[in-house]
Amino acid sequence: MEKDHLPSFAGLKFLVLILVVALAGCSRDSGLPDPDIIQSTVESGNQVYRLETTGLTEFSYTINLGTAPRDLYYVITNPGTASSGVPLPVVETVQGGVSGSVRSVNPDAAMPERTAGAEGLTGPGRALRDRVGVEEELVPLDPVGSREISIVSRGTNTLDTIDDTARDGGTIPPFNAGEDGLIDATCRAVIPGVETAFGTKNLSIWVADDCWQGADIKSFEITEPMVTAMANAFLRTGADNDIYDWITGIFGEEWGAHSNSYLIPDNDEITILLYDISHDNDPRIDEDKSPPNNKQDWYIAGFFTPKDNYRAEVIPGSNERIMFYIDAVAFALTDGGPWAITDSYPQDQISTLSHEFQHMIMYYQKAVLLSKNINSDEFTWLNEMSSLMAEDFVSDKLGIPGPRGVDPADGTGIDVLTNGGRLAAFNSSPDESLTKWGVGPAEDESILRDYAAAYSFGAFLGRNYGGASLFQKIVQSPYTSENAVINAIHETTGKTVTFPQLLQDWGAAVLLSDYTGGAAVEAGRQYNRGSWFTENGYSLGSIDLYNYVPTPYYYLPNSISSGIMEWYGYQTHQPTSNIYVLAASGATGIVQHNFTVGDGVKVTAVVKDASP
Amino acid sequence: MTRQARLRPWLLLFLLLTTLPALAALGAREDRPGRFTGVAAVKGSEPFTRIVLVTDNGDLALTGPLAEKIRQNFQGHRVTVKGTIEKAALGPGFPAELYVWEIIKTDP
Repeated sequence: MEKDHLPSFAGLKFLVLILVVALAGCSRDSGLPDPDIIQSTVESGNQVYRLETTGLTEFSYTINLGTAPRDLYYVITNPGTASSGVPLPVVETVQGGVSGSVRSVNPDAAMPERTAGAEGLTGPGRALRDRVGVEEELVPLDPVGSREISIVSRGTNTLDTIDDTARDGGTIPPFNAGEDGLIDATCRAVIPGVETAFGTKNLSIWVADDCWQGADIKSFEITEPMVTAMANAFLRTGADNDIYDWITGIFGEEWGAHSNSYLIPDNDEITILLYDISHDNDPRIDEDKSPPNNKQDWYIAGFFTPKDNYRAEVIPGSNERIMFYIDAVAFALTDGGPWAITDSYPQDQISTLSHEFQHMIMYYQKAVLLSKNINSDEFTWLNEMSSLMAEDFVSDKLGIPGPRGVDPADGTGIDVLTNGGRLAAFNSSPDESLTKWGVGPAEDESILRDYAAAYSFGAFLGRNYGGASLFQKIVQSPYTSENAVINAIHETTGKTVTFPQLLQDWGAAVLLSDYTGGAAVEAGRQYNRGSWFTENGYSLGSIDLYNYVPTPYYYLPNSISSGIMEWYGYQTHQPTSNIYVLAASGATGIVQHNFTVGDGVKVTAVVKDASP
Repeated sequence: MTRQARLRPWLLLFLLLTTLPALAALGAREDRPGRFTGVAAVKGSEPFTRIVLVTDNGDLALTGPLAEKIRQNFQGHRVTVKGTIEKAALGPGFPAELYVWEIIKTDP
């Protein structure tokens, strides 16, 4: 439950004393010019206080933690979107709490101190996929690797292998893959006439000839059982049993009627092209590197581009198909033994089908049908957030860990420690900007952090404001960016929230994710209820961010500026970001801190019982 | 020399001076830099994101070396640039392309 910052009548006498202490502390220790004083008196249980600091850049905050040991955190939020940011916050301990001059390492996880540079971001484990991944060590996923999933056993698809003559009456122009050039491919599967909620749909899966079994060019090659498994996962006879049904059930149809003569007409066909994206798997280039990318430490798992939705006379590179592209080598990559759909990379690639399918749907629903201006498009952070949530929504249905990175059958959030999914990366950099995209000393590293922040925020929204219904309204909205989110929340729940409030509550939810209930958590700050969050047939598993390695990073008072500048090179408090500060650990009684923050910056005090 | 004959060179000169700029402007319209103002934002899905100016008339995809500077430093800022429209908008996902010659002003 949110608390007012004003003193209660019961604690009035005590707070007068606090006020005196605060005034003395400010003038003596900080040298700040008579900062405003804000106080709170803590009641039992976890508490969250949004400090009323509007218009203030210097203030003092005093809190009485009572007699039971408590932890006190501050979430310092810059709600502004301008990438120049605002001055980095300064938090000085006046009384009580903890102090230090160096960046903290969370004692809950035996992780090395962050270092400024690429190697600090990732721990050991499998590749993070999608736009970029870290290939470091291709070890199989821990406990879920041996788990049976039901994709293959479900299927009785009509699966036809057809030859080249099936395309364009015998002449087969290669696919145009943009910068990757022309791709000679063969159609390896056709799934015709599947009845869906949006009419009869047809799927064709094409495989680049240099990726097909026997070509002997790539490290891992596509075979017919792999194509069958992908087809079964994406589109099959029957209702509510494949990615097509599940993802369109949330976001809507991928393509249909429209009035734009530049775009291809609706033909109810979807094409998937499997090829070696970026041509980055060629053992002749660097045998020391592991696939799917032999050249760099990341790979592109899949992509959608709207160029193919255009007529070729408008965009010459268009394939004139409603299609997306999946990395073939990653899908064929095994965990060491014979290929199985339960291997970690194939699982990730199946999850990527959901991700790219959402991009395809958002393009039609938002850019083509609903945009207030035909030349306007959605912001990247929201587009990628929606795709990551698409993966989250079908994780349990597919039996794939997804961005949560844990056993998909476990909705409790009580998994063993994991470094999988997107949340370990988020914990490494919880102070990354949500809306600013693709900026940093090393762009690919920053994009990994961007994905992580986008998923963390999307997971927070989905678990607090209506799950699949919320994301349907975000995608099927004429609004973009923050406005799409707050309008969708209002339409879904009737609640009126501001984006700064959402950012503050997101930060508090991160810190309270090791609790499954209580008023502070249930007031829109819940990652974790110890069970599934289920809405309209879609379930999201609980998330305890303290079950990831590393656990969420925080700073100590007096260490923020040096810590952030060391790690990111940032000189400012980044836009739409939260900075986490551990201000008191196992403390009792009065704790006081002086703050100097940038214009518009919000501060939230989160008081936790010392142990869950 | 008649009066008409005396006037003829002046008339030609007058016509030349009045029509040349108009003709030049017509021919150079596509290339002439203009001022454009909007909020800088990154749009699209990976790996095809682009930095755009969000304006009341739709997005303008920024190109040229200064576009990367805007992406790195001015997302979320209201930015005024001098630039040239190099490609007209096609429709959803393919806004007009604006080559940025100069960043005139940025407001957080």
